[in-house]
Order: sequence, then C-alpha cells, then structure tokens
Amino acid sequence: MSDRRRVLKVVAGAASAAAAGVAGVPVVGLVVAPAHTPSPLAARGGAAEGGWSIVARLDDLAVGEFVQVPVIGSEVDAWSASPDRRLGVVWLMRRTAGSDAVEALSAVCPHLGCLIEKQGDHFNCPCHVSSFAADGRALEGPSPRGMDPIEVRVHDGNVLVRWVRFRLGVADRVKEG
Amino acid sequence: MSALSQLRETLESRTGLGASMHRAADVAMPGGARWRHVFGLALVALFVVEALTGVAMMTVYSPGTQTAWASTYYLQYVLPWGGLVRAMHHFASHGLVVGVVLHLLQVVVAGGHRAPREVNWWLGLALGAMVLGFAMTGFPLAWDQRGYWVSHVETGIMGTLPVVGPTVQRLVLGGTQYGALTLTRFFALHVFVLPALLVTLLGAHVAIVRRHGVKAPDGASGDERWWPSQAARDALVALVAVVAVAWAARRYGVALDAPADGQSQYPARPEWYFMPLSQLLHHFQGSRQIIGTAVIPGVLTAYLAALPWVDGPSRKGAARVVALAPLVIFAAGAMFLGWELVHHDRGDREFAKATREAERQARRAVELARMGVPPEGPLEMVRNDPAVRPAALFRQNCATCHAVRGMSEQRKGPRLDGFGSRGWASAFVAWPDHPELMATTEIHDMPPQRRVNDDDLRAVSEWLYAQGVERGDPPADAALVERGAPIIRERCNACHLGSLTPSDVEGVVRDAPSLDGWGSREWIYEQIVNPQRMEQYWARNHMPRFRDKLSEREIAMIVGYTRGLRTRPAPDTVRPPRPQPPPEPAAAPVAP
Repeated sequence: MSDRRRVLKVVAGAASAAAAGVAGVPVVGLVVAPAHTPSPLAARGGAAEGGWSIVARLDDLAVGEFVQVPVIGSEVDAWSASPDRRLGVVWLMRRTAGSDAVEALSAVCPHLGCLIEKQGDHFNCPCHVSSFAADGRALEGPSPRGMDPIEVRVHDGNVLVRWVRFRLGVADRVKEG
Repeated sequence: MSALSQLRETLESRTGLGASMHRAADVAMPGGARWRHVFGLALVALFVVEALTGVAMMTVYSPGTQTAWASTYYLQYVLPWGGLVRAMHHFASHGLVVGVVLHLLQVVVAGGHRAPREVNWWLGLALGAMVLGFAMTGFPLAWDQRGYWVSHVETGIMGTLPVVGPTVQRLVLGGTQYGALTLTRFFALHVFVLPALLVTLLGAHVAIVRRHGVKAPDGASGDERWWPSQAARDALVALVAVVAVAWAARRYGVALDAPADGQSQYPARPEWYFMPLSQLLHHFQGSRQIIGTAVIPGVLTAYLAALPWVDGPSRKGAARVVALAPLVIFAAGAMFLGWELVHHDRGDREFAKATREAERQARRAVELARMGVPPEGPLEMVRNDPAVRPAALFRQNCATCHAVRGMSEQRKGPRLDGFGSRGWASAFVAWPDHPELMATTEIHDMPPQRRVNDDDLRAVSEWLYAQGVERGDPPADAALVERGAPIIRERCNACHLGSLTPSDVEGVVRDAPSLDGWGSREWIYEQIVNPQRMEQYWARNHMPRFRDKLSEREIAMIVGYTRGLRTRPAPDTVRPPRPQPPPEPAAAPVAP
C-alpha cells in the first residue's frame, strides 16, 4: 500500500511538472522574446537611404558656431514605421569657410539622455549639470564620457548625418539596437 | 539533509504552509478515486494555460483599433514563440468548451446535480456560460476580419433580444457603434472582469465540492482521499489536455485574418460551438428570429437550471430517461444544425471563393506589415496596397459603367480594354459608335471614317497612340506619326480641338475633344476630374466628375490602372455589331 501511494505521488508530481513545462516554456519564451528580438524594421535603417538624413544646407551653417538641428527620418518602433518623424537632435558646426568639414555631436547627454544645451562657449546638460567643452570633451559633472560624435557628410551642398543612439551611462561608446 | 529538514521545520513553524497544503489535499473521494472525476481539474489546468498564455500575450498586445491587429501580427509573425502561444490560447479555449460539456454530462449521469448539490450545479452552469463569454470577448481582440465580423453579428443579435437587448448592447459596445470603445471594453472584460469573476465562482464551486464530496456512482463503496490516488489521475489527464493543446497549436496554428474593415464583405462564420446558434438564425427569420435568438436558448437554459427538480432524486430507470430526453434532443439538434451549416458551406462555391479571397487578403496584409505598419493603422495600409488598391478603386468607381473584360460588362460608357492603344484608336476611328466599343455612349455625330484606306488608318492610329506614349512603352513609329499628322489636321481637327493648326471648315464648330495627349496620364486625369471640360467632352459628357469624390491619391491610382489597360487587346469593330447595324451617320456634326 505504501508502495502504491509512493508511485501515485510520483505520477501526480511528474505529470503536473510536465504539464507546467509544456505550457511554461512557450510562455516564458514569448515574454523574454522582445528583449533579444530587435524589430526587423530597424535592420533596414531608421532614416531613408541607409540611415542618412539631410539636416541642413552647408551654406546656412556659420563657420565656427554650433547650431542645433533636428534629424528627421522614418521612425521604427516594433511593428510600426512612421515616415517623417523627429528622430533626434544634433549640434552642427562648419569648421572652416571654403571646406566641407562639418562637425556633428549628438545632443543626447551620454549620462542619462537629457538634451544638451549650448551655454556660451561650452555645452551643458540641464538635468545633472554635466558640462562639455566646445569640442565635446567632458569637463565636469556625472557624464561618463564626452558628447557622442555623429557621422556626417556633405553632398550637393546638403549636410547629411547618420543618426544613431549610444548606450547611456557607460564610459565606452556602444551603439544601441 | 538534516540542514534541509531543519530549514523546512523552521519555515513550517513560521508559516504553517505545509499543514495548509495537507488540509487542502485532504478531500474525501466517496466511492474511491475514479477516472470519471478528472474533468474538473482538467478544466482548471486548461484555465491556467489560458491565464499564462493570456498574460504572455498581454506583454505584446496593444488594444486599440490602430494597434490591435499590428501588435497581434508582431506577436504572431515576428516574435519567437508568439505564434505558438497565441495558438495555444486558441486551442485551450476549444478544450475548455469540450471539457465543460464532458464535465456536465458526467455530473448529470452520476446525478451530481441533484440535492444537496443544486447550488454547485448552478455555479457550474454559470462557469460554463463564462467560458462562452471569454470566447465572445476574446474573439475580436486581434481586430481582424473574422473576429470583427463574428463579434459584430453577435452584438447585433444581442441588440434584438427582447426588453433588455438594446440597453445591454449599448453597454457592451460603449454606445451605438461597434468600434474603438467596443474593443477596449471587450479587452477589459476579457482580461480582468471575467477572470476575476471566474476565479471567484470557481472558488465557491470547489469549496462546495469539498463540502459534499464528489457524487459517487450508485452502489459504489469504499472511501479514499484525493491525494494521491485521485490527484495522480487528475494530473495525468491534465497533462494529456495540455499536451493536446500544445500539439494542436503547433500542428495547426491559428490564423490572423486581414485587418478589420467595416466596409467590406466578409463570410463571417463563428467557432464550431456557436455554429448551431448561427444556423438557428437561418431557420428563424424576420419576426420569428426571436425564436432562434432568445426562445430556444432560453428554454435550454431554463431546462438546465431546473434539472435538479426535473430529474429529481426519486427518479429512476424509465422516469430518468424521460427527464433527460430533452438534453439528448438539444444535443442532437445542435449537432444537426452544426452539420447543416458545415454541409451547406462545403457545397457553396461563393462561400469557398469568399474564403479563398479572405485568405489571400490575410497573406497580403502580413506581407505589407513586414514593411512596417504606417501610423494611420493596418486598415489604411491594406487599403493603399500598391498592388491591389488601384484595381479595387477602378472596380468601385469606373467599372460600374465601363466594360473591362474579366471585371465588368456594363454598357453605359466606352469599353476600356486597350484604351490608348493603336488597336483601340483604329477601331474607334473606323466605327466610332460601334456598340462593342462605345456601348450606349451617344456619339452618333462623329462620322465613321470608313473611307480612310488602311495605310492612312494605321498612320492616324500611330499618331493617336504616340500622344500617350511614355517612357517604358513600346515607342511609336516616328515616320508613321509624321504621316499621320497631316491627316489628323485635315480630317479630324475640323471638329476636334488640338494644337495642330486646324483647317477651318465653314459651318463647323470645333467642339469635339482635344486629341493632344490622348490616352496619356494627364488626359485620363482630366477626363476623371472634369469630364465636362471643353477639352474633354464638354457638357455632352454624361460621365460624372470625380474631383470631389476621390482623393488625388486615389485618382492617381485609377489613372495608373486605366493606363495599364492599354496593353490589352481592343475590341474588334470590323465584325458587325450584334444587336443592329449602326444608324446612318449624319452628314456633318451637329453644332450645339
């Protein structure tokens, strides 16, 4: 009798565990899936033409002076793709007159992602008072690294940037997504 | 080992959980453990599967008319495990319906509905009804065609029920419209209200079972505890149920139809367990509809609720058979009605065609969604499908008058097969009011150019064809076009507007349509937005203006579709027209 009871207990426990496993594995698999499955739309680049967005005319940029411009492109979020959305903000500066050299810095603070402002001859993040030099170097405050440079090129008199987000709060510059 | 048992003892002394679980498992099983008592726990197991898969889907799903379909698409086709989890949720609901029926039959056969278990019988009926409530509220959540239309019909029926119908319908829909609020209300019912109610009722159901014990079969003796002998049976059957659900989910999956479109025709069919009710609507129409929607379901509900007395404890043998006969009749009737609907649909070619079309639209919607669902939502995405939208617009707006082979044989306007081609041009020039070409269009004032010899006709047609040639088309023959120009000037521009210097003919007003750019996109566009324009067909044109009826985008699509028709063969006007020979042409065009 005691043997029979033990067998029945093992059967009850094993069958319950198996049923929980059959139902639980797909359920857990789905719940964790978004953490390791990027939207397939993101692979095709946020903005049009391989991620490049036109942000300004070269002639409109004053030499040696940073201006803030929005980056407009196709915003991708899970299932949706929305054209002509504001993806981010960059600080742009033309280095010298008569050349194509343009500097672009992401306005996203590397600390926790607030938007960086220009204050006199240096940059400043209003959230936790990180300050950056005119070339983007970190000066004071909690930011673990300098402002993030953004890829930029000039074509047909247009300034194009390739918008990208970097991981926040770490010293190394790592692309997100 | 001793450390572990010490830990267990300490925990037990602080919580008493072990003792609680022993008490919980220590339930009497009058008549001993039996396979016939497994249905209740199998249902609980399936309900747990529903809860787990449901919560997992809630981490992805986004209720809302713009996002429900898109997020379900993402769940099903992009995320790993998503398709399987959704299908398990679906098949577990089938399992619940089957399980409820089996549980109910077992209880009735054993007499478990009789005193003193009447209250639990009623709770069981309510729990069974709730399974149907879950199905009804869950079905439209993906906001796809099938879910939308089936649910639309169900809430429509709800509104026709006597007395409370309209009020209940408004409460469920969130107003008078089946729309955005309906979806969020169904979502709230499905994921919170019904689960909370079900857990409450289920708690009461189980508590009452513990009070009276299960109903042992008559004459059964012996007494066992639930743990572990009945528990092992319950767990095995629960495992079989869960595995069956997972197997069916993997093997068959569950479809995601095209996004819900309230302006479409859709062959809505409910799930199999609602088919008998659906078929009742077919048998009771008009003023008798209430028999199918309220009377028969009401009688069934009343019969089941009254079963503790109808089939009371004193009934035995033949008396029981009489008392339970209605149950058999209802079951047989339901099976017959379901079979009737399935059988009818199997033989219905139109239904098969509509089903195939729905499947095609579903596949196409998924293809489009892979490129990203636009902010206007999945329905706009499908409606603006670059591959099918133009044809649909043309069918809706143009084919109602114009004949196009394979789409429409309307005869209120010119046939558009080959419009803009050499063949159409020469057919028209040779016989302008040929019924195969112009149908009932009143253009009897243009004289047929039958005296034009074949070479000239070719040159004129080439010139006309060249008016609409664009990049990518077979190029026009420049020499032929050059030969056609003077003929056009001499013979056509006497009446037709156009940039070629006309040779004025006395007494003739130039009011026939311009031939410049004939068959080009611009020409077709003008014809659509303003057919009564001077350069088009002037006030004589019966074609309606589409300027304010369609958006520019839609018109551009129709223009593209119409222009695409030029590669089709034009009708042959050399054959004599079928109905009657054309009237003798007037000597000169009639001046307005």
